[in-house]
Amino acid sequence: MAALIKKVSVSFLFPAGSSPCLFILCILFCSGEVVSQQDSSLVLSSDSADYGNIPFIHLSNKETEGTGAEQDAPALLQSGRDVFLQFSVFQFAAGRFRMRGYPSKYQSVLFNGINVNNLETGYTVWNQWGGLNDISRYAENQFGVISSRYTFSGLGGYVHIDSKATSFRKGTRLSYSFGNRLFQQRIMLTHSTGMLQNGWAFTASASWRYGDEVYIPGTYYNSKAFFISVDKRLNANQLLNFTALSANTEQGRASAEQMEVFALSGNNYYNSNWGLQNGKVRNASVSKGNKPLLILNHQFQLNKTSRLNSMLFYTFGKSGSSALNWNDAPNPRPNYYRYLPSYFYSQGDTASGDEIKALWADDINTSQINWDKMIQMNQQNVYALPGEGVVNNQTRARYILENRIENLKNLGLNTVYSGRFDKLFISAGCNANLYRNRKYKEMEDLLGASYWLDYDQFADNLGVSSDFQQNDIEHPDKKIYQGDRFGYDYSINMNRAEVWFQNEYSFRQLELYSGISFSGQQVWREGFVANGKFPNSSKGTSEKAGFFNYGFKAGVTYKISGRHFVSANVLVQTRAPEVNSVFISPRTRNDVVSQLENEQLMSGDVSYRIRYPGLNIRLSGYYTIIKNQTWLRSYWHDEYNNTVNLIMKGLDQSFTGLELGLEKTLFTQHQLQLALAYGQFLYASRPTLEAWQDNNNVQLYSNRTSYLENYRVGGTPQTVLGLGYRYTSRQHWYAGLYFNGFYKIYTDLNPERRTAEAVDKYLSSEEKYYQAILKQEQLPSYFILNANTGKSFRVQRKHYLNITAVVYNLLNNKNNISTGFEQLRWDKNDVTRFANKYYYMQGTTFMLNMSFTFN
Amino acid sequence: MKNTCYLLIPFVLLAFAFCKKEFDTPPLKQANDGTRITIAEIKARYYKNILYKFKADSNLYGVVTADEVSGSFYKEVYVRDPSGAIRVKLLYSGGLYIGDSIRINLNGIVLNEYNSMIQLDSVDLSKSVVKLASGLKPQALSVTLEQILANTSATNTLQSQLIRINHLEFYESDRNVSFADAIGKTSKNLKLRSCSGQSITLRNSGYSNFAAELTPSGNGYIIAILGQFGDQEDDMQLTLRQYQDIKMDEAVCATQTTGTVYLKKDFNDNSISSGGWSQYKVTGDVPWSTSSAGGATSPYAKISNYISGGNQSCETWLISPTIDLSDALQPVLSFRNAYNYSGPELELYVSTNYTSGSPSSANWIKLNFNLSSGNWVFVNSGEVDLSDYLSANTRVAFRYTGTENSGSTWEIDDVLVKNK
Repeated sequence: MAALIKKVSVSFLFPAGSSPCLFILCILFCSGEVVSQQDSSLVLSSDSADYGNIPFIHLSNKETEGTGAEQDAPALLQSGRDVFLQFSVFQFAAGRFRMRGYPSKYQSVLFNGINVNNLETGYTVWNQWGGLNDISRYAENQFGVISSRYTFSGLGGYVHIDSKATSFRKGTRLSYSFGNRLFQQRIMLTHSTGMLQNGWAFTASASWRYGDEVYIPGTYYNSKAFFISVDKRLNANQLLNFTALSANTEQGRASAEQMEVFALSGNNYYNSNWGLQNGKVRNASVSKGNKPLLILNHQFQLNKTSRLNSMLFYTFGKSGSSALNWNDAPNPRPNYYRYLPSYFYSQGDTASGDEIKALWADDINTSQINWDKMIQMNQQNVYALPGEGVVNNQTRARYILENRIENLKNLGLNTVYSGRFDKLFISAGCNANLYRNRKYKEMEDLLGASYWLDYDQFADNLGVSSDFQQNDIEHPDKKIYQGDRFGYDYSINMNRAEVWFQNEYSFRQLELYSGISFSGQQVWREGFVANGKFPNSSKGTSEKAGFFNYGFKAGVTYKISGRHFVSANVLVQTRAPEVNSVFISPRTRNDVVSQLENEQLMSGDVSYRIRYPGLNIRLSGYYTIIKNQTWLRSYWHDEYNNTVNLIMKGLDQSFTGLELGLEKTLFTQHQLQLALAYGQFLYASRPTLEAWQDNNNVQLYSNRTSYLENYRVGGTPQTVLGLGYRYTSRQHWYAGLYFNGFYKIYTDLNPERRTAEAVDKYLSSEEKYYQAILKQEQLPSYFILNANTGKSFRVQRKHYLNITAVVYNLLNNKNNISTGFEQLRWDKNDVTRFANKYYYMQGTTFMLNMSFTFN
Repeated sequence: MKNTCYLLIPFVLLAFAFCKKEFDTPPLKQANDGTRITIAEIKARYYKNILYKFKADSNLYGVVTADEVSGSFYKEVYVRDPSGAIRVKLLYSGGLYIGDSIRINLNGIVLNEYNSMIQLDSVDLSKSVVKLASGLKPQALSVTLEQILANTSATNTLQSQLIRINHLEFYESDRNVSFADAIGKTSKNLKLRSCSGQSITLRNSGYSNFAAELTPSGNGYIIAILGQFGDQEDDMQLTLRQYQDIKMDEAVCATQTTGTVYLKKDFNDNSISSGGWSQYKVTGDVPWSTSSAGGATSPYAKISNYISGGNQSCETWLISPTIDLSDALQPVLSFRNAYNYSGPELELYVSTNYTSGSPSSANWIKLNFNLSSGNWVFVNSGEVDLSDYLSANTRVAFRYTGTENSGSTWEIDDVLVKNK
């Protein structure tokens, strides 16, 4: 009886408890804290690496007092929450933990049945519906190799968000949130009509999130999102749904820094992306974008036991990432290696080193970007092109703020058949995409100058024909004004299709499933501008790179008794290489990387589960190997004094580990939780490296072996420990306290440092000296304490007021390094010159959420 | 439940998968003592005008004694080991500092010579040099100028060494001047000498951070790198690594050079021309001659244009031999002069570029001196300062002129040029 009452009073339209947690996570990962490596110089690393991509995330609807909508799901899914998964989503995520170490692109994220993983990188851009927490609340989350009725899910399992209008119960909800994590305030309003008499159902939601320098200096967040979903029941068997969502997000971002820079600024949250312009804080690294999603969905209930669900969808829109660019002027970034005292100390110049150290402490124009100086230098640079006189004191920009735009059009079709035949459940589907992502640079701010000349400033130094430096040989010496397109202009195109099939058998003591998938994709580049470096291979269509992939998975669950289950899954799959490793230098030319091959994945896992009322245990062991990955990065290479495209092929990763989740309820109201994972995520091969010079077709080297075997996979703690205690009161409030320990965190690697050429001048007896180059840094282990609490109030019998609060890092420890990576640019003679960069975990942060639901 | 125990087997197997995995390492060169080489052995491979390129791995272990930090050196460092020292020319500036203990793999490096300086050429740090330690404090070798000047061939063992020489001072004209031309960024050669008179050049770069500092005026020590630009004694040169390596604030050498006589002519041998003196008749035919007339205790030189009862128009020069004043400190000329009868004054000239023949072939500068008041009274000319004419080819000359109508008789004696 008590349980029932709990359900009634608490399971309203929008399960409250999940609210702060869900969007905190959303926010955390929408924060644009880029975890992947970036080079330290002017040139961006591979295009897709930094457009607000987010690592692994889980969403779960389970952090609620009730269980949400019941679904026709196999035994395991129905029986309740997975403690380890809960912890992973709500607790460990703050420490950037990736379950089983898998790169997050292996998790399929589906929005109303449509796979919304980015087709180029595989990552999920949560910003696409960021802020629309109310409508993304119904999420089914299964991790690992598992059966899925929505798609052929792979290693990471799937998250399926159901936001059809009919999925929401009637009512209106207004919520207000306040915090200091990513944004300061959020206001959200959602209204759902429920299924009306005439067969229509409407749900609309709008939210606005705003925050200015909420925790990290120089950052800001401004996001407005809208959602509308219209259902029309055509007849007893058919339902038509139209969903549209749009999230316009603008974010000023934070930066990862070297230890020296943190020490100089005296602040573990130092952000090198901002500076003062006329006394106001301005961030140079701003991501802005809106990629609306439109879905037309037809649900056809073919008969009582089978259904056909078809979707037509279209995503379009622009996103941009701003950055400073400069020509014939000093580097404006405050953390440039030559502006650090170590640069002078290493040359024996103690005087200059001390001088710059003092400036860092006292002068904001040294420790942050000096916008005023850039504007001043621009305004003074009156310039005349050869053969042209000075016109009206027109100034040529030395510094600009450019916006690297991606303009996406993705049209897709997806249909899924589901049917139950006695003990057999069949799911089958096919889907296809026509994808085109046009990328170009746009002039965001001329910083006081009249124009910018569209040259490749690195090509300039080569003293070759003046054509060489032109970014557009058909419009040489082009003057770029505010809002103009320049630099590069190309599109990445992909056509893909997949067909998959899955059968599930459910017997009294045994459940089996197997699934198979076949897919193919064709990728090509189309350039719209011919540049001087590659006049014949930059404009036009490239060769088409085609990949054919298959996947097979199977699993079995054996019920030893009603309480004990053992299950095992296996997966064998191939995947096409990431699109950003298909082209050697997509910004400048059409050339395709030679001998591209598919990745191969193999995985097996075994789990043992015990389920009693009040006791829930899962122990799992897994072994996964991903073989033959391809990786491509662009960065400034010190040895060749040029931008270099580095391609790594044949990289294998292995993931082995154990997971334990345990939940025990004592005396109904007290709950103890334990989540423990011990993992070993290693590189399991010696990949080969090849490097190409970016501004000509020279291959700098090829077939170099990178001795990466047994180096640890970086970016995620490999071992985590979670302990939780939660008290639930009969008066509809709860409080919880959680301990999270993060262990065995390693930095992301620079593969070039582990080649024989990197240490070729050393003797094997000089280990003390070459270790600095080879050694992979292990970050210190740490723990944090989190707490949450919430209370719901019933108002006037029908309405609800729900208040929740979450506090992270209660002990306000500001010295926890959450992740770090090695820079790709490195100095063979002094490995500390371009030292590792890190992000620190924030101190105490909180989120307070109040929502009022009227029914 | 017994059956369930078997289910734990896969977990146990997994546990074995967790044995600690060793990090991979790329293959490295093995150390081999046979390839160790010393600087003495390297220099033994030097032959004049022949380049030697090392074609196999040879490892030199040494310490850096001079670096580029002060700007005295550019793209070069000096390295020494127990057997000697050598100049190492770098492909790129930077990276090595005084006190670094290094290993250089000579494979691919050329051993050559630049004007008698033996060097390892175009060494690329990133390919050939491993820094084993830093912060060592190499001490300078104490040597004397004699030792340096004893062997000035390209293979002398002191070349490129960090040395210390005590009891040196700058020549007077090189004291209290800037070390180099800091504005024009050009080098300067300064001269140092020991009290026994030996000297050595100190060459400083206009790019050094002490170029604008003034040289000390005292006597003391200098720590420098010994180099050379040629194989003669005066090709040896020192280069200062840094301003604090020179300290000269003690009293200068005892003034033994005071009083040094550079020229002496007393005409006591009754010869005008002995000692290299010459006379030149520009016009007329009136010669200088010696005489003891008038009760002089010793002969003197005399000239008069009153010949055969009448004056003759004439101009005759009496020119000294070359006086080497290049090492003089403050040379002064003195002589006694006397005259009688009225006529043009005797003139004193000095030149540094007269060789022979007519005086007009050289540049002469007129000098003032105390003239006799006449009446055959000998007067000392006073000390005529010759310190502006410190050349090796300084000459003094007396110019006598007379007209048809007049002319004095001039007498000079005890011509002396000495250090004041």
